[in-house]
Amino acid sequence: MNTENNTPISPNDSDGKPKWLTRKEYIDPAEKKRDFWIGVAIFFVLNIVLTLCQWGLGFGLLSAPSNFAGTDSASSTLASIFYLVFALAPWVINIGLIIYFAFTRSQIALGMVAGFGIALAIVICLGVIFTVWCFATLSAGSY
Amino acid sequence: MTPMPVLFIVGGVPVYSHGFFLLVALLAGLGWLLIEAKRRRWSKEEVIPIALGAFVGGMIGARVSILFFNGFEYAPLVLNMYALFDPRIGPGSILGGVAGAYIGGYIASKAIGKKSCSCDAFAPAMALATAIGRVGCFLSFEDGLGRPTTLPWGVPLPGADYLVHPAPLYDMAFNLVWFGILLALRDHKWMQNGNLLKFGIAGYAFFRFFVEFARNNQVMALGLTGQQFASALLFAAVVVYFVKNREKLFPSAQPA
Repeated sequence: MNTENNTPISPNDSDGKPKWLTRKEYIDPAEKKRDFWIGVAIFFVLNIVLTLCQWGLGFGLLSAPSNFAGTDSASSTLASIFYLVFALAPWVINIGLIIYFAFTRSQIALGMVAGFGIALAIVICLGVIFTVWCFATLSAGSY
Repeated sequence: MTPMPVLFIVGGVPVYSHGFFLLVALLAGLGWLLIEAKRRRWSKEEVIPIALGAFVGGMIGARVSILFFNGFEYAPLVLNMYALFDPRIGPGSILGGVAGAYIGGYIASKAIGKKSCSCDAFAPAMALATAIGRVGCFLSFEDGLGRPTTLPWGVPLPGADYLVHPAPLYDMAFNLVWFGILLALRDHKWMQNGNLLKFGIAGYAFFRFFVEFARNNQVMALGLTGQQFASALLFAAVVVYFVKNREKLFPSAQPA
């Protein structure tokens, strides 16, 4: 009797790693290409959404002090913590996802890095027609 | 001598020297990297992800290092990831860029499962790109060029009655010479498997430590700038690496 058909499908691979932590081996070039473009799309969609969230939450924070019942120092500390979290969130999410995909679905990670690179390359090209302020002369937040 | 922030005008649109030379520098660096990669028979499946990782890592490193070099007053600008995409803000520090590019390239090479290192192809490309980029810094009189000097090649600053060091030109000259040296050494048996890149970085760090005395950067402690501390650290790290791994890296240098 063939027992193979009765073996339950395990969510883990043969190394005991959960499926979501397993490195995908690409065999089909079309699959590689598809994952690459998924990565590019993830980068742009994710960051448009994050920018909108930051923008929306920024407005929320501006009106927040009137909603806080606590003291001025308490509300300003809370606002600073919120600010830090919102400022760092895009770094953590983007870099975290790139590293995660780099070790699971490498072509998605490559696509995300390519998206990042494309956006930075556009900025460098635009820098040709903008006055660029270096940090020695730039006062923080006043540009 | 007057600053030349606008290089030329095309159809009423000014082309700025800083941005123009930054773009040319990156294109020249990329071009040289591709030439080196082809010479080293480095497959495009490896060049593309590692170069992309190095580029993005370099841009992030250049920006984030500003926190260390210029202080936490810049945190609102540096911590905001989307400020990276504001073309009005300069990329940041080249030292941070070098460190970030190294880390980005390293992560990318590990992610694609690469065992050996072909990253030596980056070494001359980085020197060439830095040399070209510094022309833009000089033409736009970035950071007021340098500290006051009485040397005959000092440059007059508009509105000042003294001469200053043309520090970006020192950087440019060094990097052109360094580019030649790295080209001459690229086939040496000891300069393979990442050694040329480490040697290139160490050489720039060594030079940068001394050229900082002619630059206008903010003094951090002991009369030294943050860039000098970073350069010393980078140089020391490479020297320690070479000394620690000398038997593996330079086998024929050991006594029989």
